[in-house]
Amino acid sequence: MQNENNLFKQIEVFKNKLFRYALNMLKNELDAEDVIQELLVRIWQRKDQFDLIENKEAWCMTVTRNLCIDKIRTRKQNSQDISDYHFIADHGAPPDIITEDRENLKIVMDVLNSLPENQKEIIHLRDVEGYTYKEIAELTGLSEDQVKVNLFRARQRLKEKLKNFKY
Amino acid sequence: MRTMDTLYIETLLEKFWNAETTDQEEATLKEYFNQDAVDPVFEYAKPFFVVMDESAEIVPDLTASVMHKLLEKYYQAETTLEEESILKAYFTQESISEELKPHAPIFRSFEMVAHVEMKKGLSIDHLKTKPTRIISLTWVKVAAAAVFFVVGGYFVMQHANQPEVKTMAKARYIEPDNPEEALEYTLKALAMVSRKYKKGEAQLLEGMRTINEAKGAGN
Repeated sequence: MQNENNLFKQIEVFKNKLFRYALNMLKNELDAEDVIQELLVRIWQRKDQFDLIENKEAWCMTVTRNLCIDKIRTRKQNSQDISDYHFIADHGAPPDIITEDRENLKIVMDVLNSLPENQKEIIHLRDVEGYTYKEIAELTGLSEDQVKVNLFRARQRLKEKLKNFKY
Repeated sequence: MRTMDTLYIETLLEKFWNAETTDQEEATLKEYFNQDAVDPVFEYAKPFFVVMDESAEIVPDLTASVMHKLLEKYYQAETTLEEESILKAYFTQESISEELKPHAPIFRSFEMVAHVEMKKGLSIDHLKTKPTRIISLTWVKVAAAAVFFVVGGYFVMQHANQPEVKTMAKARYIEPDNPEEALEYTLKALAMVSRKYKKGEAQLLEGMRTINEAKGAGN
């Protein structure tokens, strides 16, 4: 039981990062929770090997990514009809959020959702989670240069779309 | 503190904006900007280095020009993680320069996304109720060995209980009683072989004739 608790304590530290990553890829809260649940099952079934993994966060992020890709491939229809914007607005916003921020979030999320998948993924990993180029490259299987190029394009797109923005 | 010329600071700053400074060079810049005799030319960058100093207050006091520089680098994907956290800190507080306000939604939105948490907790019970899909490899090996021995044993037993079957050779083997009888059997056998051979030869000749006819028709 002690081991079980230790295992969950280790994952609890970066659980929300994993969830946000899955949410960013799947656009659906329930699917994202399913993926995290599946990840936990896999860790649970191989808990002895999991203890030997040096960078557990990186390993979990990679497995989460693979599970998300599997989920996207297998789900019968794209469940983007449940916008993650509402979820983020409800769960990520501080209680005293101003209406303007809510509206702006929707505009930013729309721009982000219009980006190609790899750009959207990379800007999330860098600007939301604060990963280094090297970490993103390892996670996505791209070179560091490709990561920078994709990030450059994503940020340019944001800049372009928001240049006439009123705040 | 040693005197540092303007050109040297300018070079270091340029390297800093390009994220090319070493830790030592950044320490030099911090040291320079935290003393009183800062050249007015570099005054704009002073708040930047004061904020980066761990002993300084976290309250952002960055000038619009420094933020402009950082934003330029940000959109070019050339900022370091530290610079990006400074941008986030600046744009998520209330006193943002009027001209920079259009950029704020990006950083404020990222900040909101970064605060999203998974509602469902990690629970052991959750996992225990989930049906196990993977069977231990050890048990698979044990089960496979058991099946092998049971099936293998069955076939061995079947084979052992079967009555001895005479082979064709044994069934047709006849022990002749005298040389005449032996000769008779030998001639019969040779006649049979001869018949079979002739039949085969006839079939071969028939086949060759058919092929030759086909060839002739083709020509």
